[in-house]
Amino acid sequence: MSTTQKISIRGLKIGEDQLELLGETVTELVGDAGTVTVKEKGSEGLQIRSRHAVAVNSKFADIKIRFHGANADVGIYVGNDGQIDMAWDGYVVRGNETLKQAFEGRADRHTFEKNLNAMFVAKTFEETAIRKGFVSSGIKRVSLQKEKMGQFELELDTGFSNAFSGDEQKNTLSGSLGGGF
Amino acid sequence: MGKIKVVVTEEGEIKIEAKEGFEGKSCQEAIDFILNNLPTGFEFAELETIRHGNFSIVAENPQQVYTQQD
Repeated sequence: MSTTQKISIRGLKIGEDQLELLGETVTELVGDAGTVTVKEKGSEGLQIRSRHAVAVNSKFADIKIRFHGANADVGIYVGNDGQIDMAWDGYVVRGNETLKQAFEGRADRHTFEKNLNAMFVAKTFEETAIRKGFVSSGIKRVSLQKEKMGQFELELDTGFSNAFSGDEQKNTLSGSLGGGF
Repeated sequence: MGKIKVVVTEEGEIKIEAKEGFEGKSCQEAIDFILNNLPTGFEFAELETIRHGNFSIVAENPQQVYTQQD
């Protein structure tokens, strides 16, 4: 008998207090294709349903999606280290016409996970910039029909922010942007 | 004032581009400023490339790679 069990989304870890932003991201990405529920702070989580047995470590999710027309849920889990896991089965989204329209004809788990990852990164950049005094144009998903994929775009205006110095560094990334500047 | 365009692809590639209004190092400083203030614990995928340009300088900028520090 099959078991529904959570599996990590490659590379994506959320920061402290980002569950709300993740919930907002999932809700926007799902759109009219289904219903999203985010657990209350401090609660055990949201029990998910599957056609199969659900693994013990996957029974309670932080975010639950029920796509229209499906009789099972998608569970999204945030680990102690911020790692994002998802538990779901392909039939939950297969044939979902709303997702197909949104994702260039694709309605599969891999596409949804990649879009969730990209949209959450874009939202984190936007939220960080706004918090530091920038003005955002808003995030839009641009569909690249020829490549059968999409990307998330936003423009940030530095405005009159003079906050480019003196702030405490919270997340350290190495790398050089190189010459020309 | 300046404008930065951020593009995140489905493949996890992040492109950051100076659109207008930057001179000297201010664009790099603005990009660094955002990157350095991302939420504690937030990490994006293992392989990310960031490209940036500056319309005021006619020069090709090589792709840049960011990696997380331990």
